[in-house]
Amino acid sequence: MKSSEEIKFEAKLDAGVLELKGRLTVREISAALELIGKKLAGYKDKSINIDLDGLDYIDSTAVVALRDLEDKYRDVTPVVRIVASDEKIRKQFEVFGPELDKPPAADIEKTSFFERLGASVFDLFNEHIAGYLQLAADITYWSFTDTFRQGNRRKGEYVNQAVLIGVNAVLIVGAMSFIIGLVLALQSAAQLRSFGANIYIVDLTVIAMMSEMGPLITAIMVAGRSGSSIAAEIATMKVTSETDALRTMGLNPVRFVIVPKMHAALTTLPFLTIIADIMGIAGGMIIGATALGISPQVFIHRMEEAVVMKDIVFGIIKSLVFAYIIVTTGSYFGFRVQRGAEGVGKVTTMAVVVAISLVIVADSVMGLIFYN
Amino acid sequence: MAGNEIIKVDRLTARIDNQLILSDVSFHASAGDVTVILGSSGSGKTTLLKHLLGLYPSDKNAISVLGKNPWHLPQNEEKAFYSRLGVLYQNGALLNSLTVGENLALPLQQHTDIKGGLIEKAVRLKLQMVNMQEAYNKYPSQLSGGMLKRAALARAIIMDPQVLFCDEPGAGLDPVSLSALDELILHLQKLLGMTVVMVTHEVPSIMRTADKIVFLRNGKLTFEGTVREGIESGNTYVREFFDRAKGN
Repeated sequence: MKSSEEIKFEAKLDAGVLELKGRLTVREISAALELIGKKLAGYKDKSINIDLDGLDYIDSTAVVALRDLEDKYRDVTPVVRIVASDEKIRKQFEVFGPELDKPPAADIEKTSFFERLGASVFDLFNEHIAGYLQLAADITYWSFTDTFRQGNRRKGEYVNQAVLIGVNAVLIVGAMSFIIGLVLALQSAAQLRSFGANIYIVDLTVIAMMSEMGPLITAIMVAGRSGSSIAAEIATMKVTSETDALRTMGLNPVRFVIVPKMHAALTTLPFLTIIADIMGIAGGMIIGATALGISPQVFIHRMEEAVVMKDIVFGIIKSLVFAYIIVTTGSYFGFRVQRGAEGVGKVTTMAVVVAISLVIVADSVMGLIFYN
Repeated sequence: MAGNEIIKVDRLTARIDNQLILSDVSFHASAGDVTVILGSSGSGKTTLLKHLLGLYPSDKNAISVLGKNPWHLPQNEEKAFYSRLGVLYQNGALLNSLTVGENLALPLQQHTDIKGGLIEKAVRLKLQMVNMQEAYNKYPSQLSGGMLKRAALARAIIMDPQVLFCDEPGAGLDPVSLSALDELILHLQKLLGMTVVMVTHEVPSIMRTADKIVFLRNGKLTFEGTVREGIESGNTYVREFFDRAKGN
């Protein structure tokens, strides 16, 4: 424990200002913070200024500690503001952080919960929703116009992207859909058997796969595979100034990089969805044959009655919407990258999470529209 | 001479995330000159360059490059405008998914009607000019730092631009490679009659190349003139910049 002589520091509270006097260094800071804490605990007004003009000296650790104190009291009562007009003190603060406010400071009104909520919503709209809609509009426009302008296409890029997004995903989408179909039928088999409604396993599997599970599994798999790769590719291009280089070569990065991906996703996702439907139904068929005694011939015969064109069409429409969401979300987060490698990882994760979330929301909305 | 001003910046002020980066910057670059924008790290050099390239927004009258403000260009004029500029980025910024040859061919494919065979010849010629013939089929990831810069320089001059912008060309290069790159830029400048605007803080590079320097400090223009004028001027920041680099 230090004696009072060793601590060459004083804190005096007067009319909304806590004046600090003496030396404030790494040696005094713990005791000083304790003293300031006590003064603040007994303080009833909304804000308080800590005036440093009376200090003879302040070292870097004390600067950091006071900055930290200011941060801690930013959203609580009293709001703490560190102020100084002494140039020496101000310079010391500038070395270790942003410029310090000058006293006398105006009263700081603490923002209410609703003000902060409003500001957050405004920021969300301003930063994300408006930005996303702007980019999505850009991508939609160029994807549409470039469909008819052959001269603007990068030779071979559409095929390249179609292979990456579509062909390379066939195996994983097929395997996952098969397993989902298998499990779906397996879970239902016991229930249907107890009602003697074995044959309805066909209707259940076919309708569930075609209208819901097929498009959804495909979209989630593609969002994980290609949504992340789109975000990572664009983010890396941005970090390494490749998008700037394209712009200064008179090339629009949206047309050059994103449009081929959009075309590829829009054309391959419906096929992937059909593959997912077939594989899921095949899984159901195996359970039908092994657990419920429904032969493949009977399964196929019943399937012909259960399949409704509406389900197939809605499934394909869904897959187109999902393709659009995956590409636009991946692109949006790719362009939002802020810092090097860390930033690339962050936006890639965000792109996948948001794309999958939006796919599920869109699926629910379309479900309500199509089947209401 | 007013008619000779190929680039003009007039009272440019720029903020990024509400932080003032450039404040009231005005200068001009004359045709055929090498104008070097210099200053210490964080002085706003690269931000200024990005404004000149139209990558950041600016007031219509604040910037004029070849008589136009690139940020305010109508979409149908962008290709024609940018085909008159070449840019050498700090890290090369070659597209990693394309070979060096494909990188160089890209502007020709996008901006001209030239067909395959001729494009390849034009690309090989530019690679020869930077002594990189062997890199035609290589990917950027297969090149060393110095080779990457030269390949990027070849792409920057592929359209025989009127103005070549270089962003920190010396970053990551050893003194010998830097000297060779400076000589190459000067050689190409004379050969193609380009105006060069270079952003750098490499003093040897500035001494070798600059016809004119534009000195930035904390986002403000503190000196505009020749290197000699800068060193001999009473401007302490400019003098200190050159003195410290010389080890004085």
